Amino acid sequence: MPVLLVTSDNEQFRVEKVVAQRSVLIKNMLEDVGESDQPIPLPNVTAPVLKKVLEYCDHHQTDPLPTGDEPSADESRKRTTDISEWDQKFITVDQEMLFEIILAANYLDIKPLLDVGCKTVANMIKGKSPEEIRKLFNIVNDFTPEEEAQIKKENEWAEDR
Amino acid sequence: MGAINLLDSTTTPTTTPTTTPSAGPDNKYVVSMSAKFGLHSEIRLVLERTSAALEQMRALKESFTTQQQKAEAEIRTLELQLKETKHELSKIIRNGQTISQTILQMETTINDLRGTLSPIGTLPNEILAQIFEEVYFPEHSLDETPVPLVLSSVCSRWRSLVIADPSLWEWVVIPTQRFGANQSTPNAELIRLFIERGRRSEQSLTIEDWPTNGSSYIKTLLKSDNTPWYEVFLPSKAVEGEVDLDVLRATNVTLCPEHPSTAMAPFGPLLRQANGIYMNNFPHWGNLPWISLQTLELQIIDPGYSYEDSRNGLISILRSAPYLTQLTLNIKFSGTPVQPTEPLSVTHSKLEEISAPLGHFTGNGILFGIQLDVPALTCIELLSLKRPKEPEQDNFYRIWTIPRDLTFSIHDDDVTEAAELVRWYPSVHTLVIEEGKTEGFFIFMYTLLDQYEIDTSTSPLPLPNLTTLYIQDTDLRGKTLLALIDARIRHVRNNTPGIRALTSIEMYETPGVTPEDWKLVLEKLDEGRLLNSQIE
Repeated sequence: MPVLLVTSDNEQFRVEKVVAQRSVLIKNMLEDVGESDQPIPLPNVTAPVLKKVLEYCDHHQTDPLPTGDEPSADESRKRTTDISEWDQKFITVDQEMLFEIILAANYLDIKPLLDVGCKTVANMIKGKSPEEIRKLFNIVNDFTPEEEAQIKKENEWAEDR
Repeated sequence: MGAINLLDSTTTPTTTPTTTPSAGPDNKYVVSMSAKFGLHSEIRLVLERTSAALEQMRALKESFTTQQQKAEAEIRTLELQLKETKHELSKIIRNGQTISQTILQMETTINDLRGTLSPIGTLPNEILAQIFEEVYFPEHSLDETPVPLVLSSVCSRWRSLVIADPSLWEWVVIPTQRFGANQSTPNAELIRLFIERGRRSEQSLTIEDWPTNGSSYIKTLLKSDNTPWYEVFLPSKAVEGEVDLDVLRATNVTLCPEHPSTAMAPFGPLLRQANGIYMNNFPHWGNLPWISLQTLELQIIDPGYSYEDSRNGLISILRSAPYLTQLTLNIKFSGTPVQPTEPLSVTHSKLEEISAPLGHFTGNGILFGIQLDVPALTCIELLSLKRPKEPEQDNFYRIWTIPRDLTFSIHDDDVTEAAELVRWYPSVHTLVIEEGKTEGFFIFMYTLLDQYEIDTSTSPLPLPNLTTLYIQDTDLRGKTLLALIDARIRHVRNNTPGIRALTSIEMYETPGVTPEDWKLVLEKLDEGRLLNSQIE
């Protein structure tokens, strides 16, 4: 049975239940209201972002749903930032869309998509200096002189090599 | 004349006295009455007392009336004040609500502006923290600037988040030769910073090289907290140096001496306290049991060990570590395995998981010629399916009859080996294939099941008790998977003794199984669950 989703900009998306249920938020809402053809409002997601999110859900509809168990200390130590080929292609978008997808994944509670988004940003940061990171994300250096002095001191080890 | 209270004048009236009609002081009235009627002195006294009591009551009434009036006035004043205060409060609440709304609007505007300028600024702290944890990778050396130092130097918001997250400071490195004997150097300060910010919560320590002159500053830092390290990693260089092991305690120890001849005895105290040990050499066990040890992984690539050495090494492990639950053995030994005519039997009551290459086994439950009596064993992982080829080795397939979980990977030329192997694991109900070319393996599985004329007493069916599959990173196709599920269902329907249908499959990175295939798979698994429940 299809599910009707309504975005913040009032656009409607009719999707298969199995696809929509990749979102834990929607899954819980559907469970709460039971069999109903009432549209589900998603006030925090715009149409272009939901379109991308649903593309992800459709592709991953057969994946096992996350159990919610926290990884053990050992597992978290083996953390990897590998992203599958399809996911990499999917998440190759401009920065604004990338962060909107992450926010939507967080709001809709789609953990695997949130992970892919976070890993993508992490990969963008890796190997860069603080100045390069600021430039990449247009971040303002807002340190006080005292913080600047502390940071300089913390980085003295590099000159001691 | 109203009623007169004839009580003693000292008695306090309990009720409101009634008013007397007489005017003037009662005493005068009593005196004039006494004079007029010549009253007896006792009666006069009673009358006097009565009169006094009356006076007292009158005074009390007046006082009460005054107090009542005062209280009523005070209530009116207070009520007025309360009304005004309530009015003030509602004004303040209204103002507070307006201020809260303004704050919210300002925050939204700031976030919007931040988002316009820098989209990453729109992310809430918890997501940013998750990204930092993804960026971070435990660094075992100090070749590059540590990730937490980079991240905490970007902006004040990032800095606060990074400093507040101890997991980003979990790995402390003592780098090669960068310390003075007794003074604090920038490198020593860096170690102090990591220890401080990581708060020793699951912190790990790499000792690249112990300063040969022994930096007392570093020793003091390491001694400053008695919490054991989560892991101490001693690469070969450090092991060859003079590490002061008395200051170290760790839950897990990785010890990799470069030379097999390196004396292991000095590491005894550190190793004995650890729950988990990873080594590239056999430990020096000594005579006392290692009661803390639960996980042991030995990856010995030096071919200096013979089959006999490996066998003796295994005996020492089983006898010295009575609480060991997980054992990984991967030994590159010289020579070929020998199938003893009467293998030595060793019992270990706690061992639950064994990981070893297929080549280490020489028979049913026989590892390095030792018959293992391990009643708690549930899981076996075959690190490699390669084994020495010898004509009589068909028996070597019969390597284990008790484990419930079986894990292996199938590489290019392992398909036949894997397919033959699974016929000798009757009790396995969970099969984990983590990578490899599994298509041929699964085709073999269902083809064998489809041979209805097969005599199961001489040629066992593959994994008859299998109900759960975990497949990752394989070339399996949906059609093949469905054929396997169907073949097992047919056997259950035909009442083949002992066989179970598949009921659960977890699958990752297996593009050959399409969403359409998966829908069918889920339906078949439901059917399998129903059939199995009928058998049970």
